Parts: sequence; C-alpha cells; structure tokens
Amino acid sequence: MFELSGEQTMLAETIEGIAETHFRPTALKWDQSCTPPVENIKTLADHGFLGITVPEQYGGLGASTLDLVLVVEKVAQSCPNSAMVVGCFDGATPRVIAALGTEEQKQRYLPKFVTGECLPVWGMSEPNAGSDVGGMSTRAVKKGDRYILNGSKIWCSGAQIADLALVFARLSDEPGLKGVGALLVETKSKGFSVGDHIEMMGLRGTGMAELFFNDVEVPEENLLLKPGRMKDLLSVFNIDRVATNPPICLGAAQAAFEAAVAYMQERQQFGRKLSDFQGLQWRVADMAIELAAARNLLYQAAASFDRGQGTGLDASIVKTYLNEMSVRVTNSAVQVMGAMGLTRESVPQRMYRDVRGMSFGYGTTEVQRNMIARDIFGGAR
Amino acid sequence: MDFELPQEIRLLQDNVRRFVNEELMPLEQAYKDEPDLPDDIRAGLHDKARKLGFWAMDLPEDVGGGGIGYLPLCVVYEELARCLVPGFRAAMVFSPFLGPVLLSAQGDLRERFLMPVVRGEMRTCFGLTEAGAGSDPTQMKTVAVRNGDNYIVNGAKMYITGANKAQFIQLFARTGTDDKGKPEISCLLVEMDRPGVKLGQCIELISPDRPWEVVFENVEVPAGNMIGKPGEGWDLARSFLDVGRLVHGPKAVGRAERALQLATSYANDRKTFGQPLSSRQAIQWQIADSAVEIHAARLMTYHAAWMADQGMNFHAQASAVKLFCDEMLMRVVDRAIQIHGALGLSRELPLENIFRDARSRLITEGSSEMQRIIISSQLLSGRRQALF
Repeated sequence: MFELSGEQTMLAETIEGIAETHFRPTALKWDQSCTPPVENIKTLADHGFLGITVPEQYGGLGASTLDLVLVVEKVAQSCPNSAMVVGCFDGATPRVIAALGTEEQKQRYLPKFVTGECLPVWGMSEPNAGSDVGGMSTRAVKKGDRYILNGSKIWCSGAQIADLALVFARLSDEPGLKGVGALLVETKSKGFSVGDHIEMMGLRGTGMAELFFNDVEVPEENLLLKPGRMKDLLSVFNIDRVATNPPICLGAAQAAFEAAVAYMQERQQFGRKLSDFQGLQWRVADMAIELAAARNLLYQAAASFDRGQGTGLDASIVKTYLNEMSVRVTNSAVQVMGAMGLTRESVPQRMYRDVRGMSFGYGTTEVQRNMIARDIFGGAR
Repeated sequence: MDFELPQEIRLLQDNVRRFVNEELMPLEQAYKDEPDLPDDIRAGLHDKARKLGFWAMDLPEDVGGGGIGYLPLCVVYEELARCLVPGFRAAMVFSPFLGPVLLSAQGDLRERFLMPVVRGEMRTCFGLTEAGAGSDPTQMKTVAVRNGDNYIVNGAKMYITGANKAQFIQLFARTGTDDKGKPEISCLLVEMDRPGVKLGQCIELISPDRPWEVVFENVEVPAGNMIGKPGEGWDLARSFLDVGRLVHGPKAVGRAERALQLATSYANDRKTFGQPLSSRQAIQWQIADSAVEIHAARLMTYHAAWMADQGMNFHAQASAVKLFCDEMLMRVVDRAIQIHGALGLSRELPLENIFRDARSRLITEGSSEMQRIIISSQLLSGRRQALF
C-alpha cells in the first residue's frame, strides 16, 4: 500500500500554490524571450525551495527523493523552464558534491545552492560526445597546484546564469571513460566563456548555452572526481533519472491534460460539446490511464530509492516510460484542442515542445533500453 | 497497370529538383521560420519560373496555365517539399494560390479577380474557418444579408493564411437557411480594402505560420461578386478542401524524405562507442520503418491523384491521403530527431522546424479526426466497399 505522508501532501500543496500564483502567469514569457526565469529562482529561494535535498548540516532540508519529485513536478506543472532550474539546484551537481566532494568543497558550495547564490551548471556533453561520454575531448592538464582546462561543453541548461560549472574532462591519458574525471570551475574564471543561447524546440527559457574553456586555471582543491571514477556517479545518475527528469514530464503532461479537458467541456461543434464525442472521450481516457500509471511508477520508484532499495533498472524504466508518456499525452492534448492547441499561447503546445527533449538528457531512452535489456539478460550495466 | 512514371513526368521531376537545389535550398536557413519568402525574393523566383516555362503549370489551359494533371502536380509538390521554403501554407513558387473555387468564377469575375491572380498581380486568401466554426463550418456566424444589389456582410473569420497580403478574400458566409433548416452558405469575393473589412489579430502558431483574424463590419459587397449561386458555397468549399487534402500527400512525402535522408546520413556518420549509429539494430529498424511508410504514402498519393485525373470522386481517398501521410510525417520526423539526439532539437538543423510544422498538419484543413469521420461514414453507409 502506498500513499504520501501528511508532510509530503502539504509540501506538494504548498509548492503547487506558489507555482500557480507566481510561475504560471509568466511561463510563456520565458519561452518567448528565451531568457531564464531569474525572478522565479528568487521566489523559490525566499520560500526555501532551493537545494532542499542538500543535507541539513549544510543548510538544506535533507529532503528525500520523493520530496524532490513532488517539488519538481508541481513547478513543472506551471513552468517547465523553472522546473529545469530547480533541477540545477537539486540535481546532479549538488548531489555529486554531497556524495563525493571533500568537506571543504561541501562547505564552500552546498549552502549556496540552498540560498540560490550559486547556480551550478552541468558540463558533460560535447558536440562529439553525447551518449558516448568517454569520447569527450575537453582536457585538463595538471601544472603544479592547478589544472589547465581546455575544451568546450554543449547543451548546458542554466549556463547563461550559472556561477559554478561541474566540468567533466580528460584528466589522464587513459582512453575512454578511464581517463575522465571532473572539476568544479567557477564561471568567472579567466578563460571561461559562455556561448550564445542555444535555440531549441522547447525549454527555451533555461539559458542553455555552450561553455568554452581557454586555458582556464582550476585550483587542485577543485578536483571533484579523479579520472576513472565515473562508476561512483552511477547512484547519482540513477536518482536524477528519477527525481529531476521524469517529474518535469509528469507535471507538463498533467498541465496539458487539464487544459485539454477544460477546453473540451466548453468547446462545441456539431451542436455538442467535444466531451460528448466518443472518439475524443477515449483519447482522454487513454491520457488519464497513462498519467496514473506514470505517477504511480514514479512515486513508487522514488520511495524505493529513499528506502535504499532503488536500482538502476528502476531508474531506466521510470525515465523511459515518463519521457515517452509525456510526448503521447501532450500530443493528444494538442490534438483535442484543434487549432487552438497549436497557438503559441496554448499550454498543451508549449508543454509538447518542452517535453520532447527530456528523452535526451540524463541518458537517451535508447541508452535506457540498452541498460534495461542488459539487466534482464544479466550483462553488466 | 504501369507503375512507371511517364517520361515527361520524370523530366519535370528532374527539372524541379534542380530548381529546388539551386534556387530554394540556399534560402532555407534564413527564411524557414517565416510563413513565406519576402515579396521581392518571391517575385524574382516567379520570374525565373516564367523563364523556365514553369509558371502556372497546374492551372487550366483556358486561363493560360500548363494544365498538368494532379499526378504530375503531386510529383512537383513532393520535390518542392524537400525544401523548407517557401512555407507549407504559402503558395508554391510556380503558381499563385488559387484553388478550384476561384476557377469556378464566371463572367466579369474572371477578369476582375481570377486573371489578376493567375498573372501574379493580385493575391487571394480562403475565408471559411471561424473561431466557433472549425470542424463544423455550418456553425459559422458570418452573414451576408441581401439588400438591393448588394450583400451586407457582418462577422469574422479566423486563422486565414495570407490575409495580410491578399487583395481579396474568398469569403464563405450564411446567406439564409435552406428548406431543411440548415444554413445556406455562399461564396462572395470581397476586396480587402472595402470599407468595413479589417485585419484583426495575427496569431502565432507552433509552426512557422502567422494566420490572421479578418473582421467584417457592415461591408457592402455587390451581389455580382458571388461565385455560383446562393447555397452553392459548401460544394465549392468542399472541392477546395479535397484538392488541398490530396496535396498534403506529396507535401508530407517530400518532407519525410528529407528527414529520412538526414537521419540516414547522420546514422552513418555519428560514432558512439567506436561504431556508427547505423550499426545498431534498433536504429536500423527505425530507418526501415520510416522508408516503408514513405513508400506506402507515396503510392497512395499517386493513386488518389490518378483518380482525380480520371474525374472520379476522390473525396474519401483525399481524406485517407491527408490522414495517413500527415501522421506518417510526424512519425518519420520524430524518429529522425531521436536518431540525432539533442542536436535534433536544435534550430541549426531543419528537423525541429519540420516537426513543429508537421504537427500543425494533423489539425488544419480538416483534423485527423474529421478525416476518420469522412472515411468511416462512406464505408459504414455502404456507399463504398473499400477505398481502392
């Protein structure tokens, strides 16, 4: 039997209220101006909703994976761009620092994720290294007490307003993943530059850009991951595959669904409400079934991770299903709204564009399928 | 049954393909997010089309057109559709946006409205849809009330492509009620500069279209501006829609071919873990599925075009073509995006544009739902046993 605790219900209701009041009215603005929702970050910080999973001794709430799922989902329901930004403050970067960082690194950065003073950006993908992480060419060479970093990263959400970058780079001459490690790089470092906003189909308000490193000097205290230690990140990735990616899919799909249902109860053609036509009724039923399945799958997996029982298989299944569900549901929502569903102002249209990219970040659905099959057939992940 | 395209059509196809590569592809990146090419560029392309003997190739010979049939026209549209410009709802560069409604014009309407459009001197737009009348055009509220020698028009049309550039609108309005109590719909040609005609809001869509609201306030339109007789509007509109739906076929096939070509070459070039993506079976199967669907779509389009050229009723077949080909394009471009990874979403490539544009096609000019209603009603009424 599974239900949210009283506190979790209250948490969800609180953040849902904040998001609906402050984020929903301006959600279209970020999409149209292609700028990140900086004022929403402040609202979240003021209400204590940033860095909630940061351990209490560093100023966070030590919130659970399921708590984070609820927050990201409810924010996404009003503004997916803002949910992506929440994912920066509570996603892979803070989690890697909390799990693998030195005490000094934790003290230096974790409290700032909670206050919102420091927005971290994840620097892993390169033009020639997406799914094939080990194929990256950004390199950091040790010289005395510092690393000299050269290269570039792409598809970095939050890059244009970031204060800190977690940069994966070749730290040794070993080929493939064995040579890859990670450094914490302050974005105001000399030689560090951020490219123009990368225009994508959706999530156009996250400040996504390339990062460029031109002989950037990084102090050796900022080494976060030694080369060849990528395996240590598996548990971090698994949690993000549950906590910061799928909830955006769920929240966005839910918002699209609700907009569609409301429209169908008003719109009339052929003398009847759209909600009276069986073909459309079945479409709505299919959406509701998928949302229920997705929600249960996601919450259950998050709770499982909180009990220490979550596996990579759970994470891959959750991510794949939620990613693809959200495309189907937002697509249906657009369709039942007809031409209204295509307009720039329509919620389903925007959610449809926003969720499409979720099947790429944190491991494509193709890679997830490879991993699921390997688990089933007994290979190594 | 000869499945070979006749030689003159293959020649036409080669010539159009060359024109697309030389004249249109270089314009793509700059104008793919616009509803249409700029007027001066379009004028230059029309001139080139005239010099090559392409201009008005699809129009009837009695207006000076090339009179090519629907089958060669579909081949032409497929070649044009490989390029993202001009936009999907803009007129092709070889012909003005015209349609069967305007071609039905008689008497002095031909000289005043039809021929200037044929010559490229005037532009028109199609005014059927309203905010409250989409799938159900009989709900329209725009009325034209007879008053002496004029009709007085009041109402508003919505999502009208090209209204801002048109000199006149092919306006569908209620002129009365028939003896069954259903609205009588008629078609009036209304000049956009008549007093009382106003452009309303311009609507932005997920696709690179910017259709308009057009408002009519006590507009006086001479009764002589009516095409056909009162009450013939719906049949005229239907003929327009049938042709429009048919050409969704080649327009989808051409775009899908472009998307598949991009996916195939990326799959061959992009290496992960030491191997090209094309070495992965799941990727191979996606490419196979896309190729199969495109093939089926093309053949059903040719069949429907052939029926149209034979003068057969192709109403249900046009619906089937639109339904299948547009949904096929969505699947093919979606797979192509997925094969490209995050790059597939970037505006640097044409794929996300094709995706957003393709999405609109399942709704406009008769949603997929309406096409299913048309097809099933023919089959369930016993009027047809099968579509072929």
